[in-house]
Amino acid sequence: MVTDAGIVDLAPLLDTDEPQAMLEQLIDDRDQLSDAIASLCRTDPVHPLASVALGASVPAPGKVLCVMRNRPALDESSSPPWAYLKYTGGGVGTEAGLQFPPGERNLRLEPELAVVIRGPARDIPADAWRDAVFGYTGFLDVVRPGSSLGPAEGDDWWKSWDTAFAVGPTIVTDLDAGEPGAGLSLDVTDASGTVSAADPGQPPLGEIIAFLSSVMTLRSGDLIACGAHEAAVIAAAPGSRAQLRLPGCGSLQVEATA
Amino acid sequence: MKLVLFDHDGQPQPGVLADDGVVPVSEVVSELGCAPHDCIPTIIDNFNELREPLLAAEANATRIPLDTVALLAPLPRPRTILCAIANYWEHAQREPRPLRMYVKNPDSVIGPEATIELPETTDPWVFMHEAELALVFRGPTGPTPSDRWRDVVFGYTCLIDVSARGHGRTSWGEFSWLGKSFDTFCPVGPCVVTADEIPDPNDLHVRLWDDGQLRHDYNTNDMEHRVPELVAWATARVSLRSGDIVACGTNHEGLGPLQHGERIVQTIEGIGSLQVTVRDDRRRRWGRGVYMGPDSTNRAAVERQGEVSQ
Repeated sequence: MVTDAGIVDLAPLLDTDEPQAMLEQLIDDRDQLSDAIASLCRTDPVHPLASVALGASVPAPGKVLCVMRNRPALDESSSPPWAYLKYTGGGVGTEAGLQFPPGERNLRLEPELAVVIRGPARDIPADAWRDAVFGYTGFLDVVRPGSSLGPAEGDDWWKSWDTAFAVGPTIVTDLDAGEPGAGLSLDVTDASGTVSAADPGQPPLGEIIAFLSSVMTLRSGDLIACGAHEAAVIAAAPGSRAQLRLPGCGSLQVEATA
Repeated sequence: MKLVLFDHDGQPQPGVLADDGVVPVSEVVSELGCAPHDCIPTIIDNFNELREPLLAAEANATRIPLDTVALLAPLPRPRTILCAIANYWEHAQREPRPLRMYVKNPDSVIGPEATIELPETTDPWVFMHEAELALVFRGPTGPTPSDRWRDVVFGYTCLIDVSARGHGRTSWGEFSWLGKSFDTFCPVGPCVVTADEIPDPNDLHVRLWDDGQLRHDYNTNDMEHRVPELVAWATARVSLRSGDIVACGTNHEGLGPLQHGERIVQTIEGIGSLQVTVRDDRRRRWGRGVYMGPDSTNRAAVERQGEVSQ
């Protein structure tokens, strides 16, 4: 857990040492663990942030569901299905290399709010979407140009490469998040300078969770990447350094590599 | 060797499927300490050491009669399921199409004798079976050239890629493929047969019956992109772990709708028979039989369309 003073190790409270299983236990047993977590934060040593390496905030999600229509197009026409399943093994954390596929020199980075699911969640009404949410994290997707509404050149694989997304740096729980996604921004720096962009709105979380939970059961630790706004998408090439900022969650920094 | 998960006296456990029953092998794999859902991937990871003890158990241990056990999905929760899109020639005279795959919901897996539950949604409005050969991987894989495909294919199983459709043969949601990922839309089983028992995965007969009516009836030698190429393509893009699945696509000539109460039987020679049922709480009815609409690739439908257009 991240506190003002640094990191508190919650591992002593958990039954497993497998990272994704640890997260899922924290989600499923959140209410039972809350007192013990508070106690640990009072009594145990705090590790300075500078002394630790943060991994992917959701290290091995069972499913990664991505909204494929960027806003504002999604707002204008919401005919489903406007989402797809992404290869789950492709996630990296902050300060990692975000590897571009061989031969790809010109891709787009899409900053997104991602929802970390508390499940099982099935057929969640739009007005009860918070029931299915454990928290929020930053999500940086990698996309070919012109593919916000579909694949380039008929290739359905345009969004699912190995190491093709970054997730983190932290998960902010739903109790702390305020307006989810507000203030999301992206900076991309390369030899020619820095390009900055901000997401001017928030994704329609009720609609997204209601639809996806009508198709499949969402499990604890699943991720929903809620789509980017076209205004916040920036081109990148190997060597570009990206910094996604999500208020309350922190700064997710990666370097695009060939 | 045919590896299974089965339920006997309420206890899911691994076994080897023999002609005269199931051989329990929990004791052989007990030191691995795997959870039932992860049993066969763990066996795959340790197969070099386990092969001889498993063969010995198969030869010597007492069988449990098949009619006293329930076979479960051998891979109830793969980390990754990739499905080839189309991928059969279907008598067409044309250039090969680019190989494409999509990611299927790993939570949608069900096993033998389980039930495909059709969603109540009316958009999409029809749900079809697609009988497929599925490759079971030994991982972790790196990029694997097509001439080394056997290094990473541990075995094979049957898979039904249940697919929601809108109009005609078009999958629901262009480029999304989410219509293939509703809960229960991925029957898998009855076993994982090890690769040594299948000399050539591109020479297997795949059949699917719907309430006794033969629908799919094709050979895997009709694949547009054959198994070595599928392996090379997939492993060049993603890392696959032991127990992950790549489904090889289907021949669409035998597509048909699934309807409430029907019993679906898929067989692949050398692997076995996967049987499931269908439930539709809305009790919708579609025309029974092979899909013969304007975009059907069924040979009779194609010939009929040709006559109509002349």
